[in-house]
Amino acid sequence: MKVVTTYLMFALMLTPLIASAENPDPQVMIQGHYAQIERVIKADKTDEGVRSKIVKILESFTDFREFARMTLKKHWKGLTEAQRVLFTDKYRQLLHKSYVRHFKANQELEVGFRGAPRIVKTKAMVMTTVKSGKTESDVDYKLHLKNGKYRAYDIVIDEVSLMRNYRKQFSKIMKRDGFDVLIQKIQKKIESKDDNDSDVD
Amino acid sequence: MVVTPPYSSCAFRPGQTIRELVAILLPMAMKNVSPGDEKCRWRSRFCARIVWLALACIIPISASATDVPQPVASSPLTIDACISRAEKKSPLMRAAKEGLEALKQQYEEAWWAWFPRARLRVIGAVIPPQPVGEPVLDVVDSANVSEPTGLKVLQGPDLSDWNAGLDMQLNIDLPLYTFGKLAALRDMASSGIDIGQAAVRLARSELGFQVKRAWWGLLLSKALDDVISDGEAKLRKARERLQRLEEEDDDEYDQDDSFRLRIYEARVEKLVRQNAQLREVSNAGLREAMVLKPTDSLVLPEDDFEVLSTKIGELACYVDAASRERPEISMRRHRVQVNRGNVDRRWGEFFPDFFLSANYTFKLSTVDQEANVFSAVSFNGSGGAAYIGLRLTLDYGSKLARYRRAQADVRQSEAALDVELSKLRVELTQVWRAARDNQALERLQYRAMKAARSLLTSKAHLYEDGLEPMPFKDVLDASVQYLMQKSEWLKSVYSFNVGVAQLSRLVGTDVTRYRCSHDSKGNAE
Repeated sequence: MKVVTTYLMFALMLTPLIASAENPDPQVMIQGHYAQIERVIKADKTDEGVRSKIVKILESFTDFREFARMTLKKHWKGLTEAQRVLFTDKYRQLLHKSYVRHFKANQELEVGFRGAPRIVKTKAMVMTTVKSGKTESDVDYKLHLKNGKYRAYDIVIDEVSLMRNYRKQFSKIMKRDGFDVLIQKIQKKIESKDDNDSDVD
Repeated sequence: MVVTPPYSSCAFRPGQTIRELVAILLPMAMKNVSPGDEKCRWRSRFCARIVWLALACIIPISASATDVPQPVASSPLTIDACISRAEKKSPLMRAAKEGLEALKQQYEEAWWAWFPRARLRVIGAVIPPQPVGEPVLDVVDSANVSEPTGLKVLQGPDLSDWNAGLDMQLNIDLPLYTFGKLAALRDMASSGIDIGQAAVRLARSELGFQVKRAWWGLLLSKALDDVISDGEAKLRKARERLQRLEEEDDDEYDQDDSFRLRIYEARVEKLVRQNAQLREVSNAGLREAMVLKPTDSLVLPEDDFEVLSTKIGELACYVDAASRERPEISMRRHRVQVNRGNVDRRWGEFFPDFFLSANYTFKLSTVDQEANVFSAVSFNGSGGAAYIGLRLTLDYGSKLARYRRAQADVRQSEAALDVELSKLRVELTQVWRAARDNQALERLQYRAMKAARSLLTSKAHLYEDGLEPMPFKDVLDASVQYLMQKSEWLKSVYSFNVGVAQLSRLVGTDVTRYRCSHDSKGNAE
């Protein structure tokens, strides 16, 4: 009887751990990534060093295939698996470039959360506010559960969805010029220097 | 703030100077020297003179050190601290408080009317010698057969030499019953205090509004400075880019962008001038309200310019609150009370005053006065009496006129109260509506500002990371639109905050802390 009670208690103690493993907290995950980013910004002395490390952090929580699928949307179905893999890879590099360009060494970063994350079935949205100097932006992460882990498939900055913004352009190019031209243009953008500075922030 | 003492040649620090000099010079001056030691005596005198000279030099330094105007605050001020200082230093508040003090003393005076009033008269006199003549005879002619008729000798005092005399009279009156006259005076004085207190609240309310308006103006100006400098930096970069493209004769150069840029630069310049005006007016307003000298520093907090977190309630609620709390209404209401008290007082004047009175007379002189029945003038003696008296003046015509005038004054002050209440409703409706609209507009402008920001983010993203070439003018337009929208939003925050302060001033209480109670008329919050 004593042994049974001990097992039962052990089982009860384990239950919350199992539950939390099944339903990870998306906010905790994003918070962890921001903590990593802050450490990198403080530790690394060069912008290049910071950006290369932030790329790795972005890789760790982003589902680029889903990002790519959602961006191309109706055009995705018409692609072969090889084209999908190619597109996902190029798009990943473009997103790397687009995301990390806003980070610099020794940059002051203040992160806050705008309420609890919104969770609907397997999807979640974590709403954050990032303050750097006098600039404050709302940065929201759209996530979905994949293999028991939340992964980002879109980043929304000041209500501007990266995915939707690209979808508009990609769709136009796909209709007008086709998949190969789209890949060429992406490749060209990846290889180009950052000469277009709108000085938004 | 550093003030150089006028007697800088003394080169002593105030406060330490006296101790240091005394420690150095006094032992020398006070040194015990033998009477025959001329050298030591000379040294003692010399040192004593030095001490006096030093002290004469120190006193102005100490005085000037204490007169040094101190800065108001080296640390950032809060709005409450500004209001508190304005209430302490403003002549407006001082005048209101002194007025209240005068009215309180008037009440004291009315209260003392119930107590006995004593009058003392003392006369001292020197009487010069009078010529001595024949005894004065008078003819006594009496119809009463029992009394003698014939000649009566009037025997006077001996005034043939210098004399001195003292005449003292003491009268005490105590009102017994005045038919409400004294009570009316006391009630009038009491209402007078209420008017004085309302005047103090009015001054406080006015100062609070002035400080808040200037405070929000300065914060708005500071926030706009950031927006302007951001805009100027963007336009400068755009101008440099256009110049570069023009010099390089680049295909991307569009001369329309140059014209567009000039229009935007003019808009930003307008904003710069408006902001400078706002800053100067607000700064002057705050300094005036706080009674600051031009040399006093005024450090504002670095906090963000934020909209007041308050909900504007229903109009009926504020009308109700204002009719109770507003100082101007309160003053009018108490003015009616004063005039009603005056009617009671004038009514009481138709009736007599009953009073208890007592007097005592004491006379003493060096005059040799023969105390006999023939003496007509008394130089020595004492006596007193107490009685209940009645006082009544019979000018009923004037009394009636004064009574009717007092009644007219009551009606006039009641009408003035009604006018004030009616004016209040109109003013309150106007200010309340503006405050509500400003609150809605602030939310609207905030959403518009956020949308402009999103548009800029979207354009900038596609310009920087998009695959298709995008005209620079699109980013420039979005950028200027965002800056203008942000300045509009900041202005709407200012309008709302000042509107709330104006509403508070009109209602007579801080509406951000006021909660409308649920009443039977449905005037709910």
